Amino acid sequence: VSSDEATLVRRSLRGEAQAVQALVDRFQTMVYGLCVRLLNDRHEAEDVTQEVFLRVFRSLKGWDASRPLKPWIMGIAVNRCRTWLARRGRRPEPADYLHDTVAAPAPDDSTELVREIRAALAELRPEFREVFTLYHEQGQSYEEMAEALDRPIGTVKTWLHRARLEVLERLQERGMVHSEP
Amino acid sequence: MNCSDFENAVQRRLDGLGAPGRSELDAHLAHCPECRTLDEAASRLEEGLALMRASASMPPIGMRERIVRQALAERRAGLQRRRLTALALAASVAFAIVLSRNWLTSPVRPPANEVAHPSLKKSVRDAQLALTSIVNRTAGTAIDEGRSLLPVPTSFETPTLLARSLDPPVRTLRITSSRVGESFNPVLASAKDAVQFFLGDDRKTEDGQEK
Repeated sequence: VSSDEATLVRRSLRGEAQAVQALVDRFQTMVYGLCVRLLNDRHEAEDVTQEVFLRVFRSLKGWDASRPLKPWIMGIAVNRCRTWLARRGRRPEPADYLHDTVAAPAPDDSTELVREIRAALAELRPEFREVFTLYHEQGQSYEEMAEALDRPIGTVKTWLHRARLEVLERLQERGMVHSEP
Repeated sequence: MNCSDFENAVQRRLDGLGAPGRSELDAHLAHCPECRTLDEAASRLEEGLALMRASASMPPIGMRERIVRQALAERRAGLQRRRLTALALAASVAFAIVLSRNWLTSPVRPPANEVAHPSLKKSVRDAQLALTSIVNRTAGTAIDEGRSLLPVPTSFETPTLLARSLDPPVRTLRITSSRVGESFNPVLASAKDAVQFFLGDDRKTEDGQEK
């Protein structure tokens, strides 16, 4: 754990607005991105992101300073998303991502490719979707994911490999692969 | 290299760890169309993931400020709640201390609404007095009533005559009075016995031995 993180947490616990702001700044993109991907709804993702940070600040006193902050926060985010989805009582609807745009204009099928990948993610089992998003979109390591999801590294690795194979299979089925047989 | 090895190589590639020698992979791909498709699919996935990372969902404007405001407000509310709790606790402790000090220093008194019980001795004496008073009053009433029934002389010419005229009624009155008194004798005797009995018991109770 960096001393910078520990200091930030200490200052946040003292109620320093600047520290609280810095902490939110540091993790909000990551948390919000994860929530968008897991919930497939930007408005719900915003609500859940707020819930996540409020929970983080409430629980900050109990944070184990010997462990990195990021997986701890991402673990809270994953749990909040699961709770939200359970409350919603239905699978995430792959609709919101249709409004996503790629960074650059796509003369080829890249927009469709991204859409297919997102649709494939929406079809995955929740734990597969979580690890895929954490790894490929949020850049989390296996160790960090294991920490966040409170699962052994081997389990997390297996989930990710299976998730990839399912996505690859869908890309093939949907004609996104142009190789000759 | 077989298909399973190739699949592992694809996973390593997607992990960003690189793949084993390209020549080995190419040799396998040359005669395995399934793995060629898998290889191509992995390339498309890498391409798509790069695009997704580039177009990552950015947090909405103002979300950070809302979170910070809410977090600080919640913290302030928590502090205030803790202060109030501490204050209430301190007040309770202070009240308990004051109460216990007063209780320890003040003499033990019966509650204001509780009437002190009279002693047995006093009760018996009161009963004795009451009984005597009833007996005297009853006797007095009987005498008065007897007197009212007697004939009253109309005139008294001389003292002798007056004495003579008064003699029968006085005698009757004395007899009546003595008989009324006698009629109460058994009651009085019983009352006296009872009083003596209680007094004797009372003494024994108070002193621990009979006097």
